[in-house]
Amino acid sequence: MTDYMHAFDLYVPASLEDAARLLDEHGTNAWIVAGGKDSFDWFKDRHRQPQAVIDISGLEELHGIRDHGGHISIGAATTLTEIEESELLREHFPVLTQAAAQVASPQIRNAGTIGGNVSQDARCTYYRDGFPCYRAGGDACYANTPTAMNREHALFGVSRCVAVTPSDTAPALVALEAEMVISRNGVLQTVPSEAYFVGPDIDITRMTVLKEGDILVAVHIPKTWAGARSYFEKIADRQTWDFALVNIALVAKTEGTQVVAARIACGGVQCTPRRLAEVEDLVQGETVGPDLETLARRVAARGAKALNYNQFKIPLIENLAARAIRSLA
Amino acid sequence: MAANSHGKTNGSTRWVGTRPVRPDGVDKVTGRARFGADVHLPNMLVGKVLRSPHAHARIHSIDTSAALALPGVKTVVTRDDFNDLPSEFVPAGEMLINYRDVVRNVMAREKALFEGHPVAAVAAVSEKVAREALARIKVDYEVLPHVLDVVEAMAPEAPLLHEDLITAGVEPAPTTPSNVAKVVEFKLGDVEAGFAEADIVIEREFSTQPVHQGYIEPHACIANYSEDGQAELWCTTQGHFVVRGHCAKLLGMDVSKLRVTASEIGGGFGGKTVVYLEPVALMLSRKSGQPVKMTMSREEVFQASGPAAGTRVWAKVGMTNAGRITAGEAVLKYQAGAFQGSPVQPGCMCAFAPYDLAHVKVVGYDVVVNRPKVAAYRAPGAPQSEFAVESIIDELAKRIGMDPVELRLKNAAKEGTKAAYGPTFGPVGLVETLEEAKAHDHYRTPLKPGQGRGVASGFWFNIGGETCATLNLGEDGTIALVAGTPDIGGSRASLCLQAAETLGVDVERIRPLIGDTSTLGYTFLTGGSRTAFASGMAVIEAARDMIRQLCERAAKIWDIPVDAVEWIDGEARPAGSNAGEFEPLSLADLARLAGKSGGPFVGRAQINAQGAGPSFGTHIVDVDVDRETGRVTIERYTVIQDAGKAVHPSYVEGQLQGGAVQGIGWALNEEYIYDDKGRLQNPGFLDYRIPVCSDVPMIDTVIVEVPNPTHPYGVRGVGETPIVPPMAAIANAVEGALGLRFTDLPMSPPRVLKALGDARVPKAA
Ligand SMILES: Cc1cc2nc3c(=O)[nH]c(=O)nc-3n(C[C@H](O)[C@H](O)[C@H](O)COP(=O)(O)OP(=O)(O)OC[C@H]3O[C@@H](n4cnc5c(N)ncnc54)[C@H](O)[C@@H]3O)c2cc1C
Ligand code: SF4
Repeated sequence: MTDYMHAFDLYVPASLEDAARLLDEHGTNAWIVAGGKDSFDWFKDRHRQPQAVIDISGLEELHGIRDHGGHISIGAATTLTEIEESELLREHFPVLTQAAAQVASPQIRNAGTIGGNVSQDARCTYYRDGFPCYRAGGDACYANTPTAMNREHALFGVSRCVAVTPSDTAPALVALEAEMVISRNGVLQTVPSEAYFVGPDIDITRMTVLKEGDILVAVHIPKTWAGARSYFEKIADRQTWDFALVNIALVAKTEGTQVVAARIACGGVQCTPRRLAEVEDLVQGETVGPDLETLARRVAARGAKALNYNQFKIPLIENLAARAIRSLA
Repeated sequence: MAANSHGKTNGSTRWVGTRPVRPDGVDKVTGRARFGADVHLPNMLVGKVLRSPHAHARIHSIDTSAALALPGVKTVVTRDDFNDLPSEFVPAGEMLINYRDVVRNVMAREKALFEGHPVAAVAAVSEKVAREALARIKVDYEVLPHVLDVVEAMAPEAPLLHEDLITAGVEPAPTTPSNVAKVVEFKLGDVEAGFAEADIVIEREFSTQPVHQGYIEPHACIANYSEDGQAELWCTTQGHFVVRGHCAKLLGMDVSKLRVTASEIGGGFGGKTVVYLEPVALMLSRKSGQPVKMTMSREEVFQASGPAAGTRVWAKVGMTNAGRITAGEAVLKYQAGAFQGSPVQPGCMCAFAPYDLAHVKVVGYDVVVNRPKVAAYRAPGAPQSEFAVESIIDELAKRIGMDPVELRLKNAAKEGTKAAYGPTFGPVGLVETLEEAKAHDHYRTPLKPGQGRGVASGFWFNIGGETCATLNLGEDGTIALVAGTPDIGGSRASLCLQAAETLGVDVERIRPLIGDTSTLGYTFLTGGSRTAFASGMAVIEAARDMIRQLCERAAKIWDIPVDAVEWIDGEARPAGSNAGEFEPLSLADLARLAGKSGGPFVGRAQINAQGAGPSFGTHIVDVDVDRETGRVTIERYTVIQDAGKAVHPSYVEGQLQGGAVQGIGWALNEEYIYDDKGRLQNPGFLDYRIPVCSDVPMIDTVIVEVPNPTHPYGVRGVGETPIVPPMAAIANAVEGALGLRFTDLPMSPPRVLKALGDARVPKAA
């Protein structure tokens, strides 16, 4: 990484409407910045040099955590620290506050936003180094070659690109069935979180459904899983200030030791947060215990295809799934 | 003379051993301290380096015309600007470097030998223009096959880095070139006979990754070359006299014409003992006629400045069932980086140094590979070889069911032990650290389920060397202390304490300063854990010199013979009743009277400090290993080390803690990840994983004091030994927790998971 940004025009719109207009005006030259924690990396590396940078972090409409009865809404520009410290969220959705608390470092969480966290780009080092790979619009994948270093890459859902979702909050939001509220052409649209994240088979150059001009306004979390049992764990090389090798988020409703229903999602194993659907099905109606753990372990990574250096992620998902189930005992 | 009554070794000290606030502390916490990049000069240009994108490439031509044509570009420097230098080895830190290589490391000549190797540099009116200029330089490279691994580099068919490199140290000398620069061998006794006495022999292969020193402050300097051929250089370095020597050599200058000032330094750990940007900045300034400032980005620091050598080590140790070690043997293969000069020699010398052995044989290979040239890193060479030996010692202890501290005590080197590398030890403190370990609460506390405890010891020589110091007495009785060793670990505080102790004055009255190369005689760099010892000895000498002058002056004022004056508690007193009845003259009195009584007082010393005391340490660590995630958590860590005498105990503790933390990183996470083209993929602190605060517990320390007899207060070096034991201690602890021995570093979660998986699925025969 270099430490020197290109020259750009910085716009600080006063309303969502202004922001949308600016985005429209500058088209492909525009870039939204919230906390800047991913954006500035790209700028400093000089692999992205947008002319118009639009800072939405101050927009009133994008702030706040509110209880609307049926759901809780979180403004897209809410910082990860605000989420981590929110009593309301901790009470209803501890899996999200725990996930937010595991992101990077306190300094980054103070500035980084939830909107930025779920919209950040892939961390694949080849891509970040500016290699002309598929994701960058080129015609090769440098991470999936016989000699490439790909310990951090995908086990599932590979379609030319083997990059993974780096976000810690994304699996929590998918587990919680969150909905993403997007402002598109001046109209608010709602997209389920599972559909918000897109894989390379759908669009190899994007990680989300956001298109030019779109603004993520808020995340709505229905109270479906409010107060449910939950589990979040992140495994990284270093215990702080490091991206997940694999993370897992679980929410579950239980009666005694019996699982009534559960949703589980993992990050770091494919381009989008991966629902562990087979585990969810398996545990439904079953009693938590070593047998269930063993079964969960057996199906958790089913279908995984390891690359040269990421074999270790298979036992990691299996063990994390077993552990998440164990936490319900 | 009566003044000799000072600087006693024994008995109590008034200042040495206390913990005053460091004199540089306030400036550092307020941001006032000026580091390498903090100086700005009028008319200053910005210098930037063009670096090779290839790990190995012949450079056919470099076309700088388009860069020079860019408005704002003042000059460009390439290989053509530096004269080639003949082969000549000179000391750099604790390692040797060859000027023929230095000139090539600073600016590639025939070939680029690693990704990041400087190929050209520009000076321009701004960073922006300088970067644009770099993009306009056309280099015609012929990309060559590269080699990164030390064993692959030793193979006959390996790509050759230097077509004229003939292995030194083998008889008869080879006739064909190779990547093996040197073979060294150390022998004591007869290892075959030693192994024949053994009941158990364990041999294993180990590997360690290159690791970066990871100093917070990137390399930075500013050079100002004037029309009359004089130049000033301000830079972040561990040794500005050494920088002066190297730069003068590379630029063909007289050393007296180059004045180098060491800035405050944001960490070095050995990595700031060599020159990278400095000669280039001087050349750019010489050619442009303007001051030039250069700074490295973190990426450049990782790509092109020295890591510690990555290694492969084979070691074999024999022991009787009673726990007596009968022989040790090892073969060390060390990466030197692009140019010869890995620390394989000290690696060989340290391998078995903690033990009193009759039969030892160690062979070392210094091997060039397409990576940045390695630089010193705390105890260069020792952590890698001692990792291997201390791992096997642990295994031997477990094999016979003996406590590993007990086994070490049984075989520990002590006063009178003849070390395999030659000397016979004077008073050393290994046994004392082991006894402390055995008695320590940490060692006696039961482990929790899933945890493992590991112990390892470590050794480092420590050095002395050429050192000057001056004490200037001010007219109010306060003192300016001038030393020539940049302060990287709190040495200004410890030098003031030693001066205060010797002079018998309040430490607050002494203000320290690191003098530039023109204000003080030649002083070797801060390295080899020598500063508190060698600059300390120089400061004590200078204080004694001043006491001599003060006593002479008092004698003159009182008109009595100088032998009749003694210096006690910071004042001149008549020695005994025969000397006469006079009111004592304090330092302040004499300072005040200086002008009227014969002139100012300056205490000076120029010494070549000999007799550095080797230092031993023993570490205890408890780890928790999560079998499901591969995560190793350091639960508790205790460093026990012999400091000889801790002049400022807080900074000794800081050294012990810092070494342990860097060792934890080395053991658990740090590694360079290269792609198949030899390009570094993790040149930043996010992906090059140095531990952060939350990765480590508070590191406990125990300072043992076995005085070094050659130093007036008993000081030994302390800065390097603490990085030697952690890797083995942690591997031994992980073995305790899992029953699996890791011989390859780092023990990161992916590797631990893999090892657990391999252990579960027995390999097909
Ligand atoms: C050293 C470091 C460590 C990190 N570690 C982690 C980690 O452990 N876990 C983790 O999950 N992440 C990590 N990150 C990634 C990430 O930068 C942060 O998590 C942060 O949350 C991003 O938010 P931001 O607001 O700063 O993003 P920004 O940089 O402002 O935005 C990121 C992207 O999202 C877009 N965007 C932002 N807000 C909106 C919006 N409202 N509508 C439309 N588009 C939008 C931007 O255009 C940009 O493309 C790390 C980053 C760094 C630099
Ligand atoms: S994994 Fe994806 S992002 Fe990485 S190099 Fe391949 S295509 Fe590019």
